[in-house]
Order: sequence, then structure tokens, then C-alpha cells
Amino acid sequence: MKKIAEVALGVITGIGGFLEVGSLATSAQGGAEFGFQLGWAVLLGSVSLMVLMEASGRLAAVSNRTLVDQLRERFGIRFFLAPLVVGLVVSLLVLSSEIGGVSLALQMATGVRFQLWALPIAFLAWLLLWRGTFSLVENGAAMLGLVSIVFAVGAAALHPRWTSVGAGLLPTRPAHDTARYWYLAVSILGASISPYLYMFYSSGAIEDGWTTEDLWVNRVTSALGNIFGGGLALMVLVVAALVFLPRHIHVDAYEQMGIILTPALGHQGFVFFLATLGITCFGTTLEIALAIAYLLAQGLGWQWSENMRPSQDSRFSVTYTAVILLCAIPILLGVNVLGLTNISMVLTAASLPVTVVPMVVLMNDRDVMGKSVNGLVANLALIALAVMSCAILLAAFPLQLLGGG
Amino acid sequence: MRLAPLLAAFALLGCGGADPSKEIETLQSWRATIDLATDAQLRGWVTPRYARQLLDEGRKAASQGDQLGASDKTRPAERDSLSAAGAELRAALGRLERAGR
Repeated sequence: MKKIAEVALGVITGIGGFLEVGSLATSAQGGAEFGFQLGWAVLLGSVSLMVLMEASGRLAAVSNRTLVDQLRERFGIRFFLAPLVVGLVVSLLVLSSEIGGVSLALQMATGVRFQLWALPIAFLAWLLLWRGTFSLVENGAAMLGLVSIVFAVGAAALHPRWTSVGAGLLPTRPAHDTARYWYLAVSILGASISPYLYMFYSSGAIEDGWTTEDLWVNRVTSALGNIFGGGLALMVLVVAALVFLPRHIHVDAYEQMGIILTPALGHQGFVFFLATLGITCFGTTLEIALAIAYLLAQGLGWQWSENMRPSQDSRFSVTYTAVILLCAIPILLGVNVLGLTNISMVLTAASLPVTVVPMVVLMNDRDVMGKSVNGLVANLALIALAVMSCAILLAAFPLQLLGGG
Repeated sequence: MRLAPLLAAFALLGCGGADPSKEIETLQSWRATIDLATDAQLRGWVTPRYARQLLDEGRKAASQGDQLGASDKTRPAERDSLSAAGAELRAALGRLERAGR
């Protein structure tokens, strides 16, 4: 019974925690410019994240070590510097975007300029991390994030042709602006498959004390959480396709998204959109700040756990304190949040090979995984992901040049 | 570190010179946004303070279009189209402003 409750909570966490500033922006841009046609990118992103989360959770449960620990120990410190530096840079950019997302939600709600919200948000996030436990951060924020289900309600209220939505799940050639289409596809993938997500997940498995008995919990949680969570991102794309595309509205600023749900749900749509943007971005702010602290602490061999008192793992606590403050600065200075989000998502996608390719080796190492090494299907999926991540790395820079404007 | 110049170059890749046809699309997109917001404002679906923020953003978009239209590099035909799109956006902004009164 306890395990079933754990699975249910894990799935809810997956659903409530899926949407954030990147997936909201990129799905809305995709729907507004290409209708349902980029649905396949959302689906591919969700399935990819499911594969990577399952693998990193299994790795942690079997070896009692996180993905970061294993990357450092198995490949050595010289190799590990690549995922460490790349992961750090990309996560800092995404963290800044998330703080920007919460700030903009508060600006739209109150009329107070978003720059002025950066420090209060950073302080509140820090306070929750300082005083809270891992389960509060993981489950509390995700529970509130269930407000994002409003996009499924909004999509249903707009009565889309579901066969057309389904057709979008298969890749097709765009009728116009090919570079922009692929740029948005890469952005959507970057928003879905952020390395911080599976690094955080693997650290969470250790925080929650997973063992081999939890492997099925890991499998069910990663599968259902991402299927339903990805479904919500797809609903954002559907709503944008039905509301913005016919009116030729492109999403050039987050402020435009405030009216995305009003044709479907009226005033409630406006209120729930702001709640979704604010709550999901705040929840992700907490998760990324922790993920960065995990990355550095595990990479440099420090004591770490969100369940310890800050005095017991002082360097870990100082790290999340410093990164939250650091990432609030660009928002305080008034950086263009949507531009920052888009660049962060493409860079995130481009950063995937440094963690995904080594995972193929780790998941096939019997010394690490014992009997739980990858089977044929898991290997095919992981190798396909590794190849795709390398292709994205090669394409990211030209696509930013050709389609990022 | 080689990473900082690389990131700066990457950011700059998305900031190329303004393209008049893209700018016309942006102005039209903002006009449609403002029309949708006006409808929402009249029905009481959005707050006046949110509508004011859209007004500000719409005005910024209109003045960016004006700047590009005034540039020597813009061809006369593109200048006319920019001017027409800018005028439509301004008319929409006026309607939203009146709806908020």
C-alpha cells in the first residue's frame, strides 16, 4: 500500500512538475506558428525524458550512487569536467529564465514591473530550500503545479479535431519557414529533456533511499509522470494552435500569453494561466537550484542532502543560496525573459551528448548495474537518444542563426 | 575560459539585423493580440492593469516598426507596408485604450 501511494505521488509529481517556463513558451510558440504540426517534438521530448529518467533512477537504485557520482567515478575527473561545466552553465541560464517566469506572472497579476520581483522570489525560494525538506520541494511544488491541468480543460473546451492533433504526432514537412520549424522543434526538445531533470531525479532516488525493490516504482513513475506531463505540454500547443494560429499571433513576449486561455475559459482562463506560469516556474526554480547544488556537491565530493540541516552540509547550502542570487541578477537588470528562455532551451538541447552518451556506457556496465543492465529495448532507445543528441548539437548553432530571430 | 565568448557569440546569433518582412509580421501579430485583448477586456475577462501592460508592449512594437521604416536601408515598398501595419496596430491600441476607460 505504501509503495502504491509512493507511485501515485511520483506520477502526480511528474504531471505537476512537467510544465515550466521553457515548455510553456516553446509549446505555445510551436502551436502559434505551426499548429499541431510540432506535436511530434513534444511527444519525442516526453518519451526521451522518460527513457533518461528511468535509466538514471535505475542507476541510483541499483548502485546507490547518483548519475553525477557515476560519471565522475567511471570516467575520471578530466572527462567529468565537461558535464560539470556544461550542466552548470545551462542550468544557470534555465534557472534565470524560471525566476523570470515567476516575475512576469506576478507583473501580469499586479502591474508591478517584473524586475522588482526578482529578489523577493529569490529570497522566498532560498527560504524554502533552507528550511524545507526534499519531499517538500519535490512534492509540494508539484502538487500546486497540478493547476497546469487547466490547459487540458482549455483544450477540451476549444473542441479541437483530435484526429488532426493525432496527425501532428508524426513528423511532417512544414509548409513554410523550415528553419524556424526545426529551431522550434529543437527548443521544444530542449525544454523537455533538460539534464537537470534526470540529474535531479537520480539525486532524489538517493534522498528517498531507493533500492532494487523500488525499480518498479521508478519504471511506473517515470513512464506515467512523463506521459501525462508531456500530454499537458501537448495541450499548451493545441490551445496555442486554436487560439493564436488563426489570428496570426506569434508569441514574441510572455505578456501575449496572458490571453491564451480566455477564449476557452474566460476570466478563469486568465487567472489560471497566471497561476500556472507562476507556480510551475517557482517549483522549477526550487528544483534547478537544488539540482545545481547536487551537481557541484556530488562532483566535488561534498556532503549533500536537502534533508540535512544547512549546518551539516554547509557548502551544499551555500551553493544553492549563491546560485539563486546570481540567477536573479539578469532578471533584476531587465533581461528579455522570452529571449533568454529560447536561448536556454536550444543550449540545453545542444548540451545533451555530454550526459546521454556516457549513460549508454554506464547502463551497460555490469560492475555498476549488476543484473539490472540495459536490455535490448532500453539500449536501442538510449543509443537512438545519444545519436539524436549529437545531431541536435550539430544543428543547434545553425538553427539559432537561421530560425532564432 | 573559452566558454564565455562562445556563449556570447551564440546569443548574438539570434540578434541579427531587423528584417522588414519579419517586422511586418510582428506588427500584425501585435495588432491581433491587441484585438483579442480588447475583446477580453470588454467582456471583463482580463484586468485593466494587464491590458495596460499589453498597451505598453504594443506601443514598443509600434515604435520599433517606425524606427525600421525610417531607416535608409529599408526599401520604399517595405516602408509603405511597415507604415500600414504600424497604423493598423496604432488603431488597435486606441481601441484597447478606449475599452479600458
